[in-house]
Amino acid sequence: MILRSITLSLLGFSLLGAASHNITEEKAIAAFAHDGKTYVIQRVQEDDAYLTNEYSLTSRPAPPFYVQPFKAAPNIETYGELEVIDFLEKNKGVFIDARLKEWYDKSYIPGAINIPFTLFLKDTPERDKVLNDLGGAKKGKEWDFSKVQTILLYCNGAWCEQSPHAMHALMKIGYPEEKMKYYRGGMQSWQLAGLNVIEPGKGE
Amino acid sequence: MRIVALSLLLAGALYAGKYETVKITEDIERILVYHKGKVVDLHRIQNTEHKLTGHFAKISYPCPGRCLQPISVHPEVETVGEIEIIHFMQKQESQKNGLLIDVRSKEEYLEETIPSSINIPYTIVDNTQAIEDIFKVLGMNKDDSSKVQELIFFCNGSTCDKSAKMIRAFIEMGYPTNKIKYYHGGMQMWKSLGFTTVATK
Repeated sequence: MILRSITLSLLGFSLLGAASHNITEEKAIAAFAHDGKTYVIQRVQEDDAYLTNEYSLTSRPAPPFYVQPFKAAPNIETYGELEVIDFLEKNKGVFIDARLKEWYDKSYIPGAINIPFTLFLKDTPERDKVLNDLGGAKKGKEWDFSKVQTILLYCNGAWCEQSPHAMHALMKIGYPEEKMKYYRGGMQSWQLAGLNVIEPGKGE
Repeated sequence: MRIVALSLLLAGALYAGKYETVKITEDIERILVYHKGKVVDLHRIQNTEHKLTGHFAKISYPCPGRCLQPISVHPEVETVGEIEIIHFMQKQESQKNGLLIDVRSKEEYLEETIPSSINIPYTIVDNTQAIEDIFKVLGMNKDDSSKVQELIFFCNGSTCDKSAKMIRAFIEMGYPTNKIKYYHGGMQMWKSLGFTTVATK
């Protein structure tokens, strides 16, 4: 795993020439494996790139798309881009794109799996299956989340309520706040920082 | 002062409903703040087709130089977003207990900034005398730091390290950490959400 990361960083360097748009001073690119696939995160390398897609829209109607508070709950940590990258590189838990499938199919952050926020809102067998997979155990009507994995959720941006909504629903059934992380900036901040997304329709 | 407050209230009533397409929060359509002595109507751009353009839409920056910044500057310094800034303007700023500080260059500040902010360029970061002088204005007193101004620092955004440098310098010189906040999103995030900015001509 470590060896693979090193090879990939070297590969990244050679492909890009001397990468000049690094993530941090020490880190040119980030590479990690997830579910048998390898992902690379890097910043735009061209000198004069601008965000022009729909994520450059400034004014989604509010209601309903209110700008969200910085924190989703007092003990749910809010992440920025570097913390998301660290979470993925160190495999700290499950990275969840909480948007509806049609959004995920257009573009998503490397390493994210899609579990739409709607799944977390209701007591259904589908929800129970996901919570079981995350390490939860249902005992009668109560959940035991003592062995549950840490999850990191995001959606379209600071004006998107879907991931906070999902986390609030999980809090109600006892999912520990400390085991949830919130990437508030979401798709919009990720791309404003010049970081790459995966666009399934466009091939890889 | 009372007359000014009253006229602000009246102006507020007159404009009710003008910004209801893209509100700031469920309860707030706009707020009025002072910027360099003038009243500024702070709201969000109402055109739902409006796109971010110009240099804050730029997404390619060299690093070293413009590297991505951690979301937190210091364990005891709270990071805030736009809604917390609006509440800060309504409470701490209007009670003269708080200041929003733009640490970018004077040229950048004059070109475009967040309404009500003051400019303390980060270039003073190594000038202890200058920082001490600023501390006096902010109410710092060797025996009692409980009355100091609450500060929110910001710069260009998630790839700008100037706020972090300034905050560290302030903490090193003794400014209480619970009186300092960090707006990581900065100008880029503020503009990407269509919030009002001001230019000084």
